[in-house]
Amino acid sequence: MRYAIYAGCTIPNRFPGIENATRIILGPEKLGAELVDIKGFTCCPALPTVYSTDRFTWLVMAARNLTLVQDEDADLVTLCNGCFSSLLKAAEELQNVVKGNRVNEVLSKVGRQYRGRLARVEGHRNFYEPVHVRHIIETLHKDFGKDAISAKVTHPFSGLRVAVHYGCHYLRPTMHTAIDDPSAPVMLDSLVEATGAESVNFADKLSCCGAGGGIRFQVPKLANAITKDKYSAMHAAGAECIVTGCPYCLFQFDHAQKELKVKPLPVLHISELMALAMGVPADRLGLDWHLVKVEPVLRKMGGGGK
Amino acid sequence: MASRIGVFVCHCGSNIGGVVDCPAVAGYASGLKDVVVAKANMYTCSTAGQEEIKKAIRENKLDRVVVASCSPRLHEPTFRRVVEEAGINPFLLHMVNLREQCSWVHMKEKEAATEKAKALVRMGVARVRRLDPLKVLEEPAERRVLVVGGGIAGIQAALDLAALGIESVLVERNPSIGGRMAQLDKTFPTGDCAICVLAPKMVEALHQPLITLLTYSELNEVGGHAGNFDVVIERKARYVDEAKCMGCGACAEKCPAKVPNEFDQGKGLRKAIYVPFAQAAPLKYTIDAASCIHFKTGKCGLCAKVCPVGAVDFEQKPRELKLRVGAIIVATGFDPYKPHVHGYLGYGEHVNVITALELERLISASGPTGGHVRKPSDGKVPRSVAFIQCVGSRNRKAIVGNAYCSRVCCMYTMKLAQLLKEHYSDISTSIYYIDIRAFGKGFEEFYHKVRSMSGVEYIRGRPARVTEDPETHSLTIRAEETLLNKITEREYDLVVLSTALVPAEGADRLQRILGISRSSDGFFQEVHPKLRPVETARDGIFICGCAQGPKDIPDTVAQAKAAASGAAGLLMKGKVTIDPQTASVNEELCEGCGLCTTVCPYGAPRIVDTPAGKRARIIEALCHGCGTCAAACPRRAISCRGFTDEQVSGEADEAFGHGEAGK
Amino acid sequence: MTKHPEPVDGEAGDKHGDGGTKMEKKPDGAVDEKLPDETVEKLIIEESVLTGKEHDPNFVDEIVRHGGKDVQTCLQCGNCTGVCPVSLKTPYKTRNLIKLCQYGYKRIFFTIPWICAGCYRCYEHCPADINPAEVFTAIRHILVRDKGAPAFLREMVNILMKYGQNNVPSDDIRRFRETEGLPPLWPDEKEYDAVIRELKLLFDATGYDRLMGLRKDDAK
Repeated sequence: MRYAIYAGCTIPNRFPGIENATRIILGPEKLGAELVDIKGFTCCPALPTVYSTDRFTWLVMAARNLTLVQDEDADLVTLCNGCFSSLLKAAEELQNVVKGNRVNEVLSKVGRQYRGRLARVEGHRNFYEPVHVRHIIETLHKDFGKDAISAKVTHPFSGLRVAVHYGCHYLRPTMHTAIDDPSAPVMLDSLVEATGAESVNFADKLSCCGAGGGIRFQVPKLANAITKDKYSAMHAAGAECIVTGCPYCLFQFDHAQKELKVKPLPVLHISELMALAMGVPADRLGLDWHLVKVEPVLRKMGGGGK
Repeated sequence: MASRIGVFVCHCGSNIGGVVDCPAVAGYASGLKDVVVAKANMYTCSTAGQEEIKKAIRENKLDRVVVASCSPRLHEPTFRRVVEEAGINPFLLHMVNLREQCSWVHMKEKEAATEKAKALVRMGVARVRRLDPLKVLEEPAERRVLVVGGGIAGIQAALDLAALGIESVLVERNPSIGGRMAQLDKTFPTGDCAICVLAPKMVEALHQPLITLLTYSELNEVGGHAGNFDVVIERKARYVDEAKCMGCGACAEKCPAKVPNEFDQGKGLRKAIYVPFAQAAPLKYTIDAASCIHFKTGKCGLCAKVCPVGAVDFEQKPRELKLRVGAIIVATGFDPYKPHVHGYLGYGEHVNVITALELERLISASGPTGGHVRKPSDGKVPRSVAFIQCVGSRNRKAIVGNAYCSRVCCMYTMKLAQLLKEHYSDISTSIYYIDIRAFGKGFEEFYHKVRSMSGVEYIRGRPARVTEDPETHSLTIRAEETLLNKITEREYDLVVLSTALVPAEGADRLQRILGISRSSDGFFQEVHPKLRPVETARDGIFICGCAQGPKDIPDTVAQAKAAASGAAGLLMKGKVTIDPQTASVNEELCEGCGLCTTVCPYGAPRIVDTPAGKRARIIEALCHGCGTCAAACPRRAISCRGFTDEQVSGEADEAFGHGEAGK
Repeated sequence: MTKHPEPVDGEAGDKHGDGGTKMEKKPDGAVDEKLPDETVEKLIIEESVLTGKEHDPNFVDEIVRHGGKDVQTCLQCGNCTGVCPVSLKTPYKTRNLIKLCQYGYKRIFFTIPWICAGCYRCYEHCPADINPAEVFTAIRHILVRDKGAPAFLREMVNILMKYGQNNVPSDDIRRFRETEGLPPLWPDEKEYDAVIRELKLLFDATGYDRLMGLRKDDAK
């Protein structure tokens, strides 16, 4: 399998450790996939900014990102719920010929055309399909599976009680492809269990962290009020840390717990958890940029500790 | 010999006349070749209009008639009768559609519509000129009706047929008749005890000599046509000899195998050898082989040992029964919607979330708890109960539930709330609704009565979340109470889901066997929703009750009676007529290739041996005149009476001005 | 458990059966008083009735045109409010906002903050298959065209136009990336200038910069 990693904005600029973790676990050192480096990506664009105010510009920007990968014969793997939702939605909308033509009219001004990924050739006709936009959680679960991952785990997290946070755009809206059952998703729980940890059940597991839609940016107090409910439920269930597939949710949990002055639970991205479990040294993962110290999690790591 | 054709152009009030200039069309028609008289009238289908046609036929010695009006689907039979009464063969009438195919689709283009109308009439005249007189065939009809489904609808239809002296065979796939009504405790809005009202009818059906009950049986095949259907019924093996079984119950007492009872919606237990409920008719025991120890392991057999009359017969085989009937009434009823397990309402996950029918069984004195409503978690009486309406109904999301309203849930919830209050004066009930539909006779009054009871609260808001307390198993419902404009969270001991009515399982299989349609909601489809609610598009097959759509008992009984009346009307004359517009084979052209037999949906063409070799012949009784065989035949050997090549292409030529209409 | 209260002798509202509302000494010393006039003025007299003048007959169509789908078939069941994280914490109820759309009360949306999280739970639960989050997105489209983008959004788009991303890294982030051999962050790369220029052309072509009030040559 060939993958082009799309790291978005939040990860490379705030949590580059997540990007590193993903490259290491997918790459030749661990799971052995081939990675393709793409230059020139911009913001996906994030839904609360451009999509909120001009859907057409959003589609143009997203299509431009997809053109960078369309000829690579690789799946575009996102590490963020927002990027996933934005690019997947764009790939689907571009199947509409009228929309696609309008977008390409604009893209031609910068010398680009979105065609999609070459699916097959019949005679002298090329057939294209939408660029494959994937999420790291779904990629790890579907393309590798729990067993293959467990086989690479050298530092299991046995006994670690994890509250998983799927976030919103990984699951919804289902009118665009639902990769996991939106009322009973399993993939993130499964990946956490593959590292030896325990995924605890807690109330309102599937609700929003509160950061999205521009709320964190505008009214952090409201975002935190929403996060507080999630925190309380996770805490009541005895969770020791939070694992998520979205860096913005991570950012929100990280900051909200400090701002709410509650006994904080360390927050990790699934790539970070997985990298640690596979024996990647913590100092390669940029964990110091997490506001809530992650030492308590590291102490639970088996097979030789930090 | 030249024809003498009369053309009658109808205004149809303003339906046609408001767009098409009817007098102009009539004037145009009168100039066409062979047209002796052409008139325009207001309502040709009225008595006056019909009389005018007859008068014109007599006065002008007409031998063919064109009526230019609405769709033939409405009045073709009417006008055929009219011309026949005036002495013309009814198939020398041709209708031209100036309404659905002209005025109604060109409402803003009056001149063009009028020109089109003239062209259509010209074509119609060319057609009628070439038509042949045809004779309606008659066939003796079998004076017996097959009723599929033994609930209140099927029972009522059979009883009504018996009252008219018509024999019926009632096929029911469960071991007893009675259906869903037998599962109810009381009925709305009167509070009548369901079984008290139903059981006498069941017994009547059991003893009525004109009704044959075939329980634990299924319909497998239907062939033939109205008046003469050939049906194949499978009598499943009960492993109990019905002739010997006295219904004493000694077998069930000894049977060691216990399984959840379908009649109690899984809330109670029954034995492997069982009757579904105490008032079962016929009162004969049945062995459910899937849960019987003897069938699973070869051991036990206690029932056979204790039966005083030796009725248990493990060697019994299913039997096939072939019958001829004249009409079929489908009364297969409904199933309650199964809420999604692990859906956000918690059904299947939170033990104290149950469906309305399950509550009905708990509250019923004949139910698994003897009429005492007990929480599944701890067997105690609940102090607070919440009902959630519209579960599985009124949902436009493709994968969740159904878009329609199930019609009866508002009312049955009111009934259940009232029953709970009557049993337990301190209980409090809350009903979470979006709208309340209390439209029938006595319904609004009942709604008022239930609302005025203390301890009954109506909350407008669709629940967003149902969570369970891990220790007490009580449930918390979070919902926006829209009339309060506030999100609330309230705790209840028991949550009841008012589930939708969906077509009974096997509706798709039955649809294929019968060759009838289902509407987009999955229920069997009536020919016309207002005027022909119990007939299907297939002559001789009727539908009634919840098989046609969700409804309550009074409406079900009314439809059952209507279906019985329809079936009787078809059969009482002792014969059925067959439309002569059927296919026929020119044996000189036919080579017996058999292609027609592969394309006909009704199995009408057969290949037979003749002195000249293999030839196709059409069984007219089966033929629907669809024309598929005629189109498929590579030798053009098949033609359809009333739609021959000359007749149709002659009409088509007229459209393009190659005809001989003159002008 | 609700029991309807039994009427007592004396007047309606006469809680203590002593014949008429009296001034009661409350436990904390406060006394029930007649409402002061200013309060009455504010509560009763200034409270106004909606007369239909607020109704914009094109609002629903405008919402549809901007991708919001029909709001007229909303049953007002309230399930959306019940699952909405923002409705839980603020007085803004999703169902009520859709009702305001049905009513065509466009003007009121000028006063409502842009706090839909876009979590789409409302869409998942709606029995009428309406997508309130998309309706609110459509309304944002309308508002930004009618009265311009809010300051926070212009700030975010400004950063986007300048850097091609939502934020920029600190020095120690850059150092980490170098050490770990991660691809240089795009603003580091010389070629990224070309990307910024591309974005500028695209924004110019779609008019997005003008929409956000960020076009340099527009007279401000």
